[in-house]
Amino acid sequence: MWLEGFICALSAYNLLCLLAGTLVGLIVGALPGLGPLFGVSLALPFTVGMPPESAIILLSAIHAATAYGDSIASILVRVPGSAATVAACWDGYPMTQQGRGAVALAMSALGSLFGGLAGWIALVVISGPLVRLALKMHSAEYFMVALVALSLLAVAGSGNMAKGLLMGFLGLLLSTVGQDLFTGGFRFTLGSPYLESGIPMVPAVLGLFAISQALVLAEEGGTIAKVERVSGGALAAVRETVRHWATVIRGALVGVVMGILPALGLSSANVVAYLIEKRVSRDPESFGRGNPAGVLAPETAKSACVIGDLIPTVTLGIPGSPTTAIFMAALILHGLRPGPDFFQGKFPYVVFAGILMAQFAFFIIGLLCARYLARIVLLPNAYMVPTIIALSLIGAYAANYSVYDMWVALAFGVLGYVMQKYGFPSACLVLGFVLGNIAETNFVRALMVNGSYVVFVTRPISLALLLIAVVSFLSPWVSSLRQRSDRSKSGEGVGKASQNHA
Amino acid sequence: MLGRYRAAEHLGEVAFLIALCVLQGAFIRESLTFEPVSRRFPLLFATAGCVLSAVLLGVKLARPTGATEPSDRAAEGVAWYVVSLCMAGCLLVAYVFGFLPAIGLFAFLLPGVLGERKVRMRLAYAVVVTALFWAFGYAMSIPLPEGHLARLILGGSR
Repeated sequence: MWLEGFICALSAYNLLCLLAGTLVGLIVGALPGLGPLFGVSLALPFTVGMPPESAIILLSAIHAATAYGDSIASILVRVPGSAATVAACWDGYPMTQQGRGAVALAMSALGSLFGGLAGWIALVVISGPLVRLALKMHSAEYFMVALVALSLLAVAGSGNMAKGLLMGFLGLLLSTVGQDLFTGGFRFTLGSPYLESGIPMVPAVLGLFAISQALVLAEEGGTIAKVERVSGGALAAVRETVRHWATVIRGALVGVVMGILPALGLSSANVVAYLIEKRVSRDPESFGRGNPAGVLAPETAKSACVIGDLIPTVTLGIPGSPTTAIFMAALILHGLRPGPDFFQGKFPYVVFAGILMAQFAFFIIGLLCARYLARIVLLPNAYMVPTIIALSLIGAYAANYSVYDMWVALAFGVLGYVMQKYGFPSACLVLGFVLGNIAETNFVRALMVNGSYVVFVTRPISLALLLIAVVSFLSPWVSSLRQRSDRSKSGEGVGKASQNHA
Repeated sequence: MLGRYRAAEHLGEVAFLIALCVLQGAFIRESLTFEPVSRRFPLLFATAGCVLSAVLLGVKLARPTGATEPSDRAAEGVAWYVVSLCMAGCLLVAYVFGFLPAIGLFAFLLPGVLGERKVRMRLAYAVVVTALFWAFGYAMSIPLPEGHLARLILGGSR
């Protein structure tokens, strides 16, 4: 069946679909605000008259390439295409400023490839047990998973934990704006119908990262790159990736796990993978200053999550995100029934082969283009700033076709600029904003179903996650206290030694 | 000179923290009017945020002005509020004339504000940007905002 699947996927027409899907995905992905959801939804109507396997290969290629293309602008100009590539710019952009943008892009392609392969292996080999485990998780566990991710806020506030926490709380608070799912009442909408569905995520993220970055570039003048030429390329990226093999494995694990859990998905996987990498690193201070691990971890996690998202879709018929819902619609449209009976006949194997080939297609094209794309940072900021702003505005508008979204992007742009200027980490705000709804919904649901707070400590998985969250939250404070006491001890030692010497 | 710059940075951060305190205070006030299920989370986050802002504000006010780390950013370009005003202007123009003319005007004027003196270059850039956005809207079937004036003209012609 596997051989038949690959032979079918490798036909000339299917390869053409693969190439077309990859190119369209890269272009759509590189535009701010347009992510996999837009790319897959855009292409779905065009697949109606196509043979089923070609249609699925085209959509798989768009899905994978859009997720990778999202990172290009994030790394080169600090303009994330969506919330899924927010973390890539934290170290990718400093690398670009140092003239290593081509290396960062090639590393992103490599990380995405390995993440995609890990996700693919999980999809093909261990999707059954993984999904069974995911099904054992109820609202209490989902709340605890969100809590574990939120416990990383102290790490995200690099250098200033209090500011990180403050921004996290602000993000959580902003996530409560809009209609309350449980009572149907509206919260903090100021009487405006526009805010009834909450603060839109895409314009907020574009404002916080892209427009604030344009304001910074306008102030700086000159060019983005602080060096006169772009150095490095694919070979340097391969060396860095081999050196950080453990980072790739950690990122892939985070991506697969978060992909399988419905609703957690892409927006949080990249940030969580980045923060975990920073936590385990021996040199956490170098994160945010162009550490290659800071690019690899989120990129691997993002790509693994893209495929991980497909696991509950194909095995249970439960889409983990809006993009996989469209993907599922495409499968049904072409006569496949996602769910326990999915693995029947040749067609599923063609789908798997198509997904695997899509990973290699965007990797090859991405790697070939990295060096040329990286030269964009040598353009003067006088032209980069209006380009970034115009792309951000259209990206904010395209999400809902709403002019108000452009104003939201502008407002968050100014907020992001002020935060950047005074050292308030925008990563924490995004983490709180993304996870706020998930945490609140599952917390309230768990209480409604079980009627008591005890549920969070009586269920084994929930209790284990709670302990992880507590340890994860406290460890930066403990290690900071320990460092301080070590420093004071060594200071006393030096003082005594100098007294003895005297 | 550096002392004055540091004082301005210090004042800016203090003002930001006060704004955060006020904002979160307003959230607390409105939360109290909600049903208990709806109020739990916002009240918790707003209170925690408000307390933390107040503590940071206290620390900031207690610290002498000179202790603020100076920014390493070179001020060669244009201030953030000038660019923000240009953006706001672009959005207002979009309301009247539509998104494409507004973005064309923006792409022509902003490089000039940012120090580009070659008018022909700016004009070419504006034309390319406008054409690309038109093509993007057309290819992706995205209905770009038309503006009241365009709607009036099109409505009149129909």
